[in-house]
Amino acid sequence: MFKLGKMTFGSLFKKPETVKYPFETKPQPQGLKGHIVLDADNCILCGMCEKSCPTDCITVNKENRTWNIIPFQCIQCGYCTQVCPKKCLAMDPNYWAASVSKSTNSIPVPDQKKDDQKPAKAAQCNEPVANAEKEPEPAKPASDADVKEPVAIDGELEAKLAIMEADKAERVRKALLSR
Amino acid sequence: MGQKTIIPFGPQHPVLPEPLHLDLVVEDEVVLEAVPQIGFVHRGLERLVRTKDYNQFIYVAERICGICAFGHSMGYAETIEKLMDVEIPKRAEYLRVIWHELSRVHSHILWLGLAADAFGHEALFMHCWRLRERVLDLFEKTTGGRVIFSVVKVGGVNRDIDRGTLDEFVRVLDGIKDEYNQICNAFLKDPSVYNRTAGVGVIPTEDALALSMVGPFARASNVNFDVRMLGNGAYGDLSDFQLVTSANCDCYARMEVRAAEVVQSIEIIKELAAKIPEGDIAVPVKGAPADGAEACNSLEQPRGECFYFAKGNGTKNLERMRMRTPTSQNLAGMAVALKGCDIADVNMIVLTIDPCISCTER
Amino acid sequence: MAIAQEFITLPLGELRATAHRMKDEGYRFIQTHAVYNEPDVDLYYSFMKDGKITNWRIEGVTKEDAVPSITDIFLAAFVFENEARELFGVDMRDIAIDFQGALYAPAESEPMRVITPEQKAAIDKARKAAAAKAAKVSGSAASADATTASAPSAGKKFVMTPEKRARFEAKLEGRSPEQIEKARACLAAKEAAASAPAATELTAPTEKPTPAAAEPVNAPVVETSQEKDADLEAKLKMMDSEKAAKVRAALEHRGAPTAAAPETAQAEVAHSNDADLEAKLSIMDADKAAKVREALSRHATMKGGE
Repeated sequence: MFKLGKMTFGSLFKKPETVKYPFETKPQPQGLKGHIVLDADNCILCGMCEKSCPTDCITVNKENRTWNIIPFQCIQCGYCTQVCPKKCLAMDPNYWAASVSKSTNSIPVPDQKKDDQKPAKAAQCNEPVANAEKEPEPAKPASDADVKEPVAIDGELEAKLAIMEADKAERVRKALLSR
Repeated sequence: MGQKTIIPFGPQHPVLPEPLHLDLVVEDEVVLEAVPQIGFVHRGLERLVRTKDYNQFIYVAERICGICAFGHSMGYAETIEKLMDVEIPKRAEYLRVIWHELSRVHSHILWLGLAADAFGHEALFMHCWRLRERVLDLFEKTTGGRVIFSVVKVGGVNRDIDRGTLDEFVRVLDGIKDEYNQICNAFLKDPSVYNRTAGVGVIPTEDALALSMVGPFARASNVNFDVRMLGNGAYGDLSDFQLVTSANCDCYARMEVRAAEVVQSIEIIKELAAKIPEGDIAVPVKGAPADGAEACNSLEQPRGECFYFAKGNGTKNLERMRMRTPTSQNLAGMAVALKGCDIADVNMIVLTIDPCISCTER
Repeated sequence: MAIAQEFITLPLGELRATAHRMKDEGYRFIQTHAVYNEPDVDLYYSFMKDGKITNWRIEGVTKEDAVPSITDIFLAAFVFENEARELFGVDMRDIAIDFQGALYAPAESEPMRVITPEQKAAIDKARKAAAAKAAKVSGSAASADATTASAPSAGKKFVMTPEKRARFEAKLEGRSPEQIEKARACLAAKEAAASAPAATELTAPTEKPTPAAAEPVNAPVVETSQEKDADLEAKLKMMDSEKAAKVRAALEHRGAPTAAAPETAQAEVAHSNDADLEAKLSIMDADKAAKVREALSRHATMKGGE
């Protein structure tokens, strides 16, 4: 009848398994997926984390040079830390602090010599493209040139539009149609 | 003779861990028929394959269920690797199986606790969950998560376990074995537990086969089937794999099988931890699944066989991903087991199939 | 060692006989599921014996086809059959435990049949890339010439070489029967006329799987001559209806005179290289491909602007 008696009785004298939480916390093991931290100095705003995020909680704003995350949407999967080419994203063992309202954490990314990082990637296509790191703005005059030759618009502009941000693409397209 | 009454049971009920609804046709105290109804937590995860690429979907797959999280990510990754013809490193296979068996340990101990709670043994419930906590700590330490691990990726695993931590695995598991045996004693030798479960919800072997039941539920009805014995992945390297079955076919047998499977899983982990080869933990996977390619796979989850099917369409998104979870196979068996039982035994029988309705509906 | 698998096609009429046979031979029923294969549904019935998974595939189940339930043989199928009816609109008959459409009670009917235009465009693009790659692998210089010839540039005569024919067939594979029929009809018409370019080099393969791809600004507006009309029609037929409507609107909007603008040499070259490029891109990573495409297109426009 008392198969569990020894164990249960013994528990009376043992140290409790639980901790008195608000006053005492369990130590966080190394490598716990708590929250994402960004090493802004190394970030090149490539947008890989934005593309890979399963919940779309990361947005990379190249114009304002900010890296934004919505902590409430983040599921701590760590996929962004795997795909980051500069390994500037990492998982911190501490959990996000609780909050009463949904918010977006915006982290400014300092501007660096942008030219010494990006050309390497563009070089893969073996094309003599000088300005490989494309700031979003210069795209406009280029697309204006396209308008003169309707053929060129067809495939190429479409490809361009596709890789632009949605609202920008919309503007370019409007300009195009008005001609 | 009394009069037939229909008693609605669930989806919100104190003894049910999951939202399952049963219409119990009752005469006096005896259940004449039970009609299961699910569909309260359908989330449409299978449709998400069209919007998430095959790498992202792994994080969706493991959120199908909290307890079988690792199994789902592993089964999904294996299916995609089969679909794309990727061979993963041996070490990754071993690590996956170690984690998978560890999640079987925690799932079965959790279930034993729930079963104890169902027949009213509060102290036993507490002890079970206390032991489970040690296993969760191991997970937390090696994967960085307690429930959702996000440690599997297509082509391998994300994190390695070093030698020291593997030794710690063995040490911790040996440490809980002693306490676990005491708990098993309470489950399997205590006459009050025996009287409550023996002879309840009997499903004979032939019926179990005809109802295509899977997992410990089927093995308790003496069905000799376990996907692990097919030797998929690192399971093929085990020196000996003996099925845990029982010929009693009742609720007691199901408890017995699960209790023994925990010990078996601990042995598997110890063997693989000793044999694990050195090497890479992942291979890079490039490209997309070919158009029209199909692959299916099956994996023994804590609750039973889980079936995966994937079809590619040439893009990074899959055309179709299908996950058939063990509970949906066992629902039919449960409906049959409930026929003719006492109304007081309904919760015991429902619990012994270890229902996971969130899995079933995805 | 992976678990052995096989996929066998089965006519709908033999479903119940096969299920009976499987049961008699001692197979274990695993599951049933449906796959949306536009415009119909494929049903899969999986069984296992001796560690091998056998999948019976019933192809092209239309909404009108009455599918008999196998729940009297394998009761466990009731969840899957209810699911197939609610999520795919398969007409399942006589399910043992019938939820009458109240299993999941989804907000929209047959949600698994929905494919958004963007997803469709991405799939089509991948198919084209795969076809182009296959053509590139199979043929050598000759097929490369054929590829160049098949690009929709003015002045080139339509010649149906064997390589092109193979490529055309490859592209048609996986499309719906009506589309195939239409495309074939157009092809026949063109072969007779022997003056229009190949219909198969449709929307520019540089499409991206984003909403932008759904809006065909890249409609073949440059083509002016009368014989091009048939070609254009063929293209429109292959597109989905709203896309086609947009293209037509764009065409009317621009009118014939503006469309008469001459093609630049660079553009022609760019187009003829499209297929080769596409084949290359298809084997690359998506992000990489996007970057290459961006660089290429900028290069081309720079030249064009000079």
